[in-house]
Amino acid sequence: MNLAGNFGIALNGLRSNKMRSLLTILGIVIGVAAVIVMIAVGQGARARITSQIESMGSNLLMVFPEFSRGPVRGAGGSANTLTREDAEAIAGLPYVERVAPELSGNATLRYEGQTWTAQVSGTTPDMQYIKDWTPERGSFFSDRDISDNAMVAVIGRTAADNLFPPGVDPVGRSIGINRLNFTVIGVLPAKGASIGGQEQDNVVYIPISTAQVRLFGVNNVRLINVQAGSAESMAFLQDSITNLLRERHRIPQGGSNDFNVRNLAAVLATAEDATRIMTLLLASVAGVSLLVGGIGIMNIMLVSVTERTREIGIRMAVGATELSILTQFLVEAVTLCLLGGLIGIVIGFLGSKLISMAAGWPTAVTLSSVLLAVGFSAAVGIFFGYYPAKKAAGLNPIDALRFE
Amino acid sequence: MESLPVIDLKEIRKVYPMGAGHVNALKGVTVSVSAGEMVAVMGPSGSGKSTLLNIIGCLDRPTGGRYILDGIDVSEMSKEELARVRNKKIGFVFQGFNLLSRVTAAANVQLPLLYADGKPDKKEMERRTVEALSWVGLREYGHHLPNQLSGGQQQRVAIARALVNSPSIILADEPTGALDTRTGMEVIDVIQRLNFQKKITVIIVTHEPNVALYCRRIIRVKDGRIQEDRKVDHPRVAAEDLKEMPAEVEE
Repeated sequence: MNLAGNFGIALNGLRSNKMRSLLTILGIVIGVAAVIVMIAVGQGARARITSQIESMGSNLLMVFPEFSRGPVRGAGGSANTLTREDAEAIAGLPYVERVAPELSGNATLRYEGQTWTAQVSGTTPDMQYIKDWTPERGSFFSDRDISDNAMVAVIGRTAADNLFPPGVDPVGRSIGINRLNFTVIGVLPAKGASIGGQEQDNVVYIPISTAQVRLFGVNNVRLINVQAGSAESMAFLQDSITNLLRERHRIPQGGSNDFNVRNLAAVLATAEDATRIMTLLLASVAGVSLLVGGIGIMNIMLVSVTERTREIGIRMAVGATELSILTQFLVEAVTLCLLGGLIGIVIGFLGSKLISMAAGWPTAVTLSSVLLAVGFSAAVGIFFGYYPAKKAAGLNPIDALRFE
Repeated sequence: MESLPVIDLKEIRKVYPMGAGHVNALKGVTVSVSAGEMVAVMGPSGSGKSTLLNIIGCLDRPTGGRYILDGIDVSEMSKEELARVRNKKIGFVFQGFNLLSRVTAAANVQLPLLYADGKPDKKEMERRTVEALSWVGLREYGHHLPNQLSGGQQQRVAIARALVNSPSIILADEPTGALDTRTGMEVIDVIQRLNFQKKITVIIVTHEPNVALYCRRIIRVKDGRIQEDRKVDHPRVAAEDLKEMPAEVEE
């Protein structure tokens, strides 16, 4: 008998016993729905983490100061080994796209009696391009403002909202930062929380020179952001920055670095690894339920073979070979599983939409997870349908015909 | 009419293992049936007549001896080959009808065609199904499920299924056993017409002497051997006997 014929017979059989068919496939439905939802949640988490890391800037290296652990230890209490000159030297290296040193600290903002604490960060104009974060109103400060030690500030969304009354355009207003007067020249659009859930919008950017000389009174910088021209050049750039800074800081051969160059791509990879493991974990839990569903199918198929012994006998008497009986029962099992798989995909899709809405957590039902679920349920059908089908095909036609 | 043997059994033996020992169900049966014969096989239960029928029907293989069916030696065929022989050459009619309960009468009749080698196309299958149903007088009942039909009608559907693939022989195992006298006679009539008009060789297993009278030859089996093999000089004709029976309203 051909496959289409078997398919028709199988569907007919399933139709004539709707309730049992439904209960049989329930395990598969739940299993597939669980796989879809779990992968959707996992993928959503991954997409979110990736986008958060990318919001920090793409192809980004971060240079932090560090205590030297060499045989001769510096006398300083805090690591203040990096300077603006270091940043300028790094800017001269090949493959460097942009460099933005940062010197930041918490400061009290004041506007007409209203006070607010925010992170005040001295930097250079490149910062807006590294973070892809240009002001929505007004503008960022310029290189000229840096050479002038200008008293200008670009203010983040949260700081602006808390400092200024509603309806007031902060651009052009004068605010106090730790008793110094600054003019607001730009307002940044909202960026949302960072990976660690930190507020990124409660920030005020001022020229690095102003921060060093006027506000904090130091010569060092806290951090140097370096954007590479391409992802491929990052490893090379990491090495050349290390060599450059060792030379500039006169660190002898064998001496440990008084700085640390961190590759954000590596951080990204770690975070992606973590979410991948989480997704895998969730999916394997869902896979177990799919397995249990498959055992349910096998159980029902075995009962069905016993119930239909006579039918098998009749089919054999009129000329069905073992192979055609085997195929028929296998097709039935696979049809059941695929049917369950399809229903499971629909439920899984709706379920992950529901989770997105309820938890505000983005989910993504991908084609690959759907294919995985369908493939898995077909495989479950074949695997758990084979034994009952084999049992049916192995029946002796004489005994099968006499079976009451 | 009696020409080449369709069924040619030589020294057929069948031994079943049972417990520690074994049972000799057939102890050397030699018989041949020519094309177009209508034979009744009779015998008490345990005589071996069911075993004989299973072997003739290619549902079982003999332990010893030769079985030539329609010129082909089937006594040492594989299970798969036997399935093909059953499909092509043999039509079964059972006491309990043995129809698939979940599908229509037409689908039941079509069943042997689905398993046929070089399966005919859909149109051809439908044509032959309708033809077979018409032959047993159930042309209008194709879309009925078996449980919507009377016992006699169900048995006639089973006969249509047996003849749909134009077999060489039809094997009927107690075909009237589950029916009352009149519907049983109707079934005998259909089988007899198959034999008269279509020249299909028929073997009926029965323990009703009355049924055997409609056959041209009676073979009695006892203790695994043929006890008696005789011709019936003037077999009764079911169509004539039906006319004399009081008409009953069919369910």
